[in-house]
Amino acid sequence: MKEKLKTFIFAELIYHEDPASFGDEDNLLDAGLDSMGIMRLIMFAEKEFGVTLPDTEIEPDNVGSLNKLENWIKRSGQA
Amino acid sequence: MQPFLAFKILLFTALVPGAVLFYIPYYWLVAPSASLQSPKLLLALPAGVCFILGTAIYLRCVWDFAIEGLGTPAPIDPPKKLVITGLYRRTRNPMFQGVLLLLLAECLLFANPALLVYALSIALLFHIAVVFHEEPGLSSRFGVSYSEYCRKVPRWGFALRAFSSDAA
Repeated sequence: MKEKLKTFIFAELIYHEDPASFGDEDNLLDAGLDSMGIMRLIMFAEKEFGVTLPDTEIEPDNVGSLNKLENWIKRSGQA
Repeated sequence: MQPFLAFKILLFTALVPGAVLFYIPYYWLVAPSASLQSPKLLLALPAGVCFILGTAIYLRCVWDFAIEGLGTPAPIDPPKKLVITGLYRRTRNPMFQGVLLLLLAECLLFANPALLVYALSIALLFHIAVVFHEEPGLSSRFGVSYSEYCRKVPRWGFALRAFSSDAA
């Protein structure tokens, strides 16, 4: 899951960072993920992993890093 | 209000809310489907109410930004101090809500499904922009006073008791 997310993020949303040196805990927002990028990322995750990510939970604690994003998707999938 | 400040606000309004409310929906959504020729007159009354309310909210917020904050709604020229007067005493993002009411007026008037999807996407985009960019920025600029304000005034809801910085 994390690799798919990372591939999408660095192919479609963030261009100036080196994916190889970007860690799972590194901050996606500091790396340049903007509002439109967050919206596209959520739409991608919902379609790719077949989950519904609640709008009320769209916050830095759930989208700030690859690990946080993966945890949020897994939690939402179990709900 | 200083003439140059008024000019900057007018320019911002024409460019940003103008694009969100008119240029994008008209040229991208309404004009291609030719729905503009058939506004739904039955919905004209609620659309008119939303339009008047949305316009009044936007103008009041812009006024507070200019008079109280000595700035504009543009991120490159924001208010110099935290604006917590007027509608901002009861809800943290009235300007976004005013723009959304204007979009709702368009949705009602033209009853165009693509326009409704567009409006919902804009609402989600506003939420993301507020949570991920605006709030962290205000928090770092205004620190404790902004945290206290956030604690008492809801992000999108409407506080029954108006916020007072004196009581903070």
